[in-house]
Amino acid sequence: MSYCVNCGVELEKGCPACPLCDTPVINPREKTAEPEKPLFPEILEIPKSVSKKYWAFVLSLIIIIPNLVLLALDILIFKSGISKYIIGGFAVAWIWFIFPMLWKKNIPVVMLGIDALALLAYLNMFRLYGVENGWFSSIVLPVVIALWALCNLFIFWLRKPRDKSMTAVAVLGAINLLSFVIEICMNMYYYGKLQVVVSFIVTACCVSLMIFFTVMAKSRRFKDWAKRKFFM
Amino acid sequence: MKAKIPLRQRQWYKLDNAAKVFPGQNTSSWSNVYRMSVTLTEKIDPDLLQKALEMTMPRFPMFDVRMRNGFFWHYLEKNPYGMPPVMPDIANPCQRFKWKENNGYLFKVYYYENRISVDFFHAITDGYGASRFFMTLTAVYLRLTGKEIPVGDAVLDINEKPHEGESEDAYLKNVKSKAKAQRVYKFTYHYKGKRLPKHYLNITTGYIPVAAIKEKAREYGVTITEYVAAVLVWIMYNLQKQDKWNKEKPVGVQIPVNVRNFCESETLRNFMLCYSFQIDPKMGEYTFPEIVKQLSLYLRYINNEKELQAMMNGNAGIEKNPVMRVLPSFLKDFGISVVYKITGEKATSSLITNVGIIKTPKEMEQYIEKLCLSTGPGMLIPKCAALSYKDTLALSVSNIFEEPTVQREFFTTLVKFGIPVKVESNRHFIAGGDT
Repeated sequence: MSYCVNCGVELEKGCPACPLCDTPVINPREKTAEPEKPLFPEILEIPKSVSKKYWAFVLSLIIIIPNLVLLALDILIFKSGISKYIIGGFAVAWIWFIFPMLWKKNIPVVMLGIDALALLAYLNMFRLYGVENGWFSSIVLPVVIALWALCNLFIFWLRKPRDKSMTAVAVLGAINLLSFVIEICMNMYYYGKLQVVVSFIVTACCVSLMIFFTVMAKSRRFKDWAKRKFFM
Repeated sequence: MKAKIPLRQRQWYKLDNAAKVFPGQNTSSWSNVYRMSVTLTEKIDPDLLQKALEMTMPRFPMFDVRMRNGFFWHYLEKNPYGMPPVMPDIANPCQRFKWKENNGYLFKVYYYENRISVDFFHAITDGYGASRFFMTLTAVYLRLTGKEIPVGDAVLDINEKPHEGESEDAYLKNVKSKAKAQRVYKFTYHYKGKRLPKHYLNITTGYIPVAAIKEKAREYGVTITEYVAAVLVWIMYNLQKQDKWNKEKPVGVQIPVNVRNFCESETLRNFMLCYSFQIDPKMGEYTFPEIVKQLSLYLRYINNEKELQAMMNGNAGIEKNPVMRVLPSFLKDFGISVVYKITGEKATSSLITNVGIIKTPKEMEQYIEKLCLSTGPGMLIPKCAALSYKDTLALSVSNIFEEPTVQREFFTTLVKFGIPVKVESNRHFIAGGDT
């Protein structure tokens, strides 16, 4: 019989390593013994499950059928051209929610890029078929790019587990940054000048909350004080 | 195989009160399947095992059933198909049951070298009923190999007619209380680790001399179950302390109890209820003797017939609730799966189920090397199962994490307390799987 030198438990005869700590078993006396049959067979029972691709196919059919009916009705009866916006919306939804199901392993950064491109293409459709006065390149494009960049930063930052308070600080920082981008773009588009007012109010709120959450995360004394003062 | 028994002749049973939740919880991550294994002194002959199973089945009509979907409730119906096939064993046991596989039966019989194993779906029986079926099957198999095995203890007489009481819903029959137990538990700490892929389960079994653990338990004036449960709480409490994101959540353990010890019943269906014990680290530092004392006192205070009656009445009340009764079964399943996903294991850090001493006739003991019980996967918690046979306590820890941290802490703690443990695990056999 062998014992694990690390855990102190007795091991099964012929066991190559301790199942609790993986320490190899070296017992010169057991080397001459006949090799034992393994405790478990090599057979693994993995039940067949309905694949994600199958569900993607079913959901795609559910989306395609009413859209085809809508397209036919629009072409033959209504002739309003509204169907392209509805079908475009469904196409974006398909890319956001069903397209990832077709892949065995999703890479968030790639998927996010595809999602952003789909959204831009959909909004661009409004520019092509609607009014073109520079709104797409002045507002939509920079806001979507800013949102995409912030999401990527979050994906990168959240690779490691983060404290909830620090996550709240990061979210508030991102909201603040996005408010600047939106306000600058809007003012540049409507008034043609770099004017920022509302975003500073947002900054004041966000920064005070960020300070609160940072102190909560860093100072145990403050956390205890806050708990005592604001208990409900 | 096509149905041979006409519909009218197929006996059917309502699911017992405890079993009603299991069809809604039958998922790959929470299968509610447990396994009993016996290692004999000789290699298993699959043909004889199949024959033994066919001879045993008529004595256990409650096992000769398949799950059917009624409009309002699931129910069990006598299985019109052939016998369940005995199959070569697998390295990843306690997988979920699909109603149409295995000829519809809700238990699977496996063999490997000297070992017979049976995976039971909890809807048909609890540990007590399973042990009776399993030991009878083993005895019949041994008789077929030429051994003289008498009837007695956990081995039932297969020539006898099944008793009526063996298939009764003991919950509804025994519930007399008008009170309903009100239990509110806090959400507890859960060990977090890298999860194994779906359908994989890490089972480590430790074999412990009963005398050694009994002596340790006696030092604290507690039972073996109380002592093992306290060790589980102690290791989870220490694991939380080591956790980088320690939030000082309560640490708890769930302990199913056999209600047959309080209400007389010979049912082979489910007849168990669960107690939960929690400690709150926010109250201060705990030592192991403190935990043992608190757990033991709590169980002694709460573990009585009146409390169990109130718990049974509370559970029966849910079943009898008019709103619950009129809901279609698929909605009930959905509701149960959602509720149990949200709250099921949140209020406990681990579970320990002890079937107790399994007794067999003396003539049978010489052919059995070891006997063990292991539970299926828990969504959040490691589960521990125990049974005693001859002079050995078999303690199994099942969990769904790649690292054997909980098992290691559990068994090395026992070793540190001076209890010798011999371990075996399927861990190295499932490691080569498709991860």
